[in-house]
Amino acid sequence: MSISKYYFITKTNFKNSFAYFYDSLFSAIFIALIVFVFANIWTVVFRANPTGVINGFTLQSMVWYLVVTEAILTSQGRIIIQIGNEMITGEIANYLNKPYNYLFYKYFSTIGSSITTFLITILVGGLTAFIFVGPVQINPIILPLIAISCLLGITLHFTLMSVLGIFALWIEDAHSLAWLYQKVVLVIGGTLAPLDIFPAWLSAICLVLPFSFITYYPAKLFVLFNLNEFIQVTIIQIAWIVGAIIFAQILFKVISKRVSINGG
Amino acid sequence: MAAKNTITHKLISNIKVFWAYLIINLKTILEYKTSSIIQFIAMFFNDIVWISFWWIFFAKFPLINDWTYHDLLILWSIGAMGYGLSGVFLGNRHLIGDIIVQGKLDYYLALPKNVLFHSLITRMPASPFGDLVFGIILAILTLQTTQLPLFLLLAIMATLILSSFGVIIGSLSFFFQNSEKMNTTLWNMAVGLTLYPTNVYEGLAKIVLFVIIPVGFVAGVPTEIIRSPSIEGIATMAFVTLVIGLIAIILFYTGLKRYESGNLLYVNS
Repeated sequence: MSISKYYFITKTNFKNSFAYFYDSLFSAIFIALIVFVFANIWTVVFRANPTGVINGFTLQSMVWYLVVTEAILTSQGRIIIQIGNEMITGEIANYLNKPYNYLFYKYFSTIGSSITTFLITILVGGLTAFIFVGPVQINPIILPLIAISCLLGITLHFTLMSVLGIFALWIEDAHSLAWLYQKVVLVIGGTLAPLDIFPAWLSAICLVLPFSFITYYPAKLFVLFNLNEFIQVTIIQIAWIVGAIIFAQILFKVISKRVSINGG
Repeated sequence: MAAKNTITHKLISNIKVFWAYLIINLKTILEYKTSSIIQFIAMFFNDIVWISFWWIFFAKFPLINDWTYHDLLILWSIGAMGYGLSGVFLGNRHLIGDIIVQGKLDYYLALPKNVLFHSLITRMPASPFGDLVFGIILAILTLQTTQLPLFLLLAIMATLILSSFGVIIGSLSFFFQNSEKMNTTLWNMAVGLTLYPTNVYEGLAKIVLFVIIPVGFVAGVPTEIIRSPSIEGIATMAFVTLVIGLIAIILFYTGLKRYESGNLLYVNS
């Protein structure tokens, strides 16, 4: 029963997400633009490199890597702002008296639209990459494993954003937190460029932080698949997700006590 | 003579309104100190994260065509100044579409002031101050003292071009329904494109970025002018600023004829 209600929440919101198809499409067009910009930058960089390979990446794999990282990063929408505003404005009251866990409800109500946005972005971003740099060489057999890795990346992304969304009640500004978090994942998480091109000392730090398990590892597995690495990454992704969920639940309980709700 | 007096009178009147809003907006920012400081720091930090990314990138690839990290910093100082100045003084430049769609233009139409100018200046968020301060600091650290007057001139032109883009994008709401998401996407595209090295584009992409949607003039062209100053370069920038500004004004007032009030009652906060 407890799981089936979340199943129905996901199903309902997944259907609803098609009503916002054009919103997802506009987001995807923006990502296509970023892919276009970096396709141009990487083309110039690779032209100056006679081997045609940089840290194991070819021009095609570098640009397709970006398509996957951006698709994961933008799939979840504005969770920090949504949760943060609901905490700050007291709108959270509408959820507290319902027979479900607030954070699980949020996750299952957004995962449907996240998958839709992810797929549209992959399609539009992939088409852009294909036009400007051509196809990437991958084995279709690995795609289900990549899908698992991406889904875990999206889930980890959600859990970290939930923690920050709850935390927004303390500083009373969700927008700034969302802005900063996005930039951290963009750079330290290896969204814009793979961590392999970072200086060794910085790369070593970024590789162990949770942000790299959101975008870097799933995208790298997509273009440079390795089964052992996939298993390791999956285990660590699950560990970070479980850790973040536990932390978010504790934080939510503590912070909920600070929420003041006025009737009316 | 009478016409000249009317123009002068209107100009003085608009300056007075601008000044009054400046004071009110600054007082509002100071009223919400904590939130304003957080927004300021967040935007400043955001800019630092971006130039850190490019530091990493240029450390690995020291030359992108003929651009070095130093050139990228010039690009960012002008881009941040343009974004910051327009955000501080013309804070609604990217929200004109929302104002139209939500029927909030009624408020400005009912008052005897220039509708476009008035609607642009009523908002001053704290975050663009972060860009402004970042741009100034970066320019001081990156440029020689003799380059600063040219930098300031180009930054003002960048501000006007960026704001004009905002008005052009927002004015599309007069012609298309449910255009809020489209406005946001187009604005993000315009801003996003300005802050990447502009010397990597070739062929059709170059024509699009410098002729069809000339976002290259916000920061890319000014960077090239600072690298090798020329009268022709400055004159081109001035011409482009004027043309885009005129397009924005014409499009807004053409669209305004199609505007239908939503009879919305609200408090302009």
